[in-house]
Amino acid sequence: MAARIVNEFTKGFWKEIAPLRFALGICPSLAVSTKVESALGMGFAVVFVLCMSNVLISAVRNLVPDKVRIAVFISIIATGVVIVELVMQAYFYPLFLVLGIWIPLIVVNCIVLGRAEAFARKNTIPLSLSDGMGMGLGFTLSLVVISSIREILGSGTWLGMLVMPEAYPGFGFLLRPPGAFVIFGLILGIMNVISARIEKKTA
Amino acid sequence: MSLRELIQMVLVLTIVTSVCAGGLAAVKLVTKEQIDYQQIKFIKEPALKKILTDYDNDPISDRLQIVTGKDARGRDVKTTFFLAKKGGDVTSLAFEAGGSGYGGPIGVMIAIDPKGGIVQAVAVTTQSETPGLGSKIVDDPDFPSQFSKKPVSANFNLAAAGGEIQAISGATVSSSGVSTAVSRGVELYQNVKSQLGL
Repeated sequence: MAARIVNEFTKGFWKEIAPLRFALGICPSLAVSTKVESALGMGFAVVFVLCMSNVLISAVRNLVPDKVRIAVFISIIATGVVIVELVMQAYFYPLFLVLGIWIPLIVVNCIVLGRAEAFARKNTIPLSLSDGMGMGLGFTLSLVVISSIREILGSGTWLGMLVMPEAYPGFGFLLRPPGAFVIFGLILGIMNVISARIEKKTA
Repeated sequence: MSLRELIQMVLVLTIVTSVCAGGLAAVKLVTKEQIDYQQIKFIKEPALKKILTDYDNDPISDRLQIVTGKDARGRDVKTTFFLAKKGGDVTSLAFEAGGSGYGGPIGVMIAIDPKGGIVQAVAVTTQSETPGLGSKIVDDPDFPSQFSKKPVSANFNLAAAGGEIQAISGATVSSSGVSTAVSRGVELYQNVKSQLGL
């Protein structure tokens, strides 16, 4: 049991890292990844929503008739998202201004509904929690990787601190939407190469 | 589909959505005050700092709400007034009024000296005007300064409408939004002057 929980948790970081393996939830990952700070904010918002929705959906999985399950899932997810929005507005207002529309849009993030549908409704609460945690942190990790590259090369800073030489002019292209796609594609490619190597070795 | 299934579906959905709604109402209740404070701090404070010059208190804490009218459903509409004080005396009174621009509503913060009845300064708080054109109502320093140091009895309409304000060329609708907001604000001030007790 314990091994399974660990396994469900760690799969979210490499084997099934959502944005990079399944191309799920890439819309927010491209949009908020201009700065590491907003990427972290977005990531933790998704972690909270995923954990909450996975646990609640797993808890009611035997009570909800199949025909209305999507409506029930969406209600639960939307509630979690609004809680995040209100709390962020109350205590992290500048972050709320940066993330703006992307916070309410977590409701329709494929990762959240995807995990509810594919995992939480068939598994126990502890397993669902660890799955949600792993998937959410995996999402955060991908965002941080993408945004680190974009922020360091694009504006020469990391988490707001200057890391490049003062004279570095900044590669503005990376901060605009097309830059996000290029970085995303490159990371996808590198990951596929590494996975192929690993598979060859084990095979 | 049997009746039993149908009832179960309705019941489950009703319970889930009610619990969700109840939970949200609770969270909203708990965070409301903090959100109000944050919004004032981050949206209104920059504008307040721009228009209030001579004070030694925190105008955000020294704010008061006054009923200034009724909306279409007959509910009270409240306006928040920020008081700037120096040595205990109120030097200015700042509040927000609204007009409509080209891209949406425009919010304008107006500072009035309650003793002389003079508009001290105005600043735009919220707007969604076209960048580079309508957004000049924020960036162009000459435009908002036209409203400064005029008595509250002045005509704050655009010159084209018989007033004293020159519109920014290429941004007439946005300029008119600001001037409408100021006119409304001044009118509102004159209506509630006696209630403020200054």
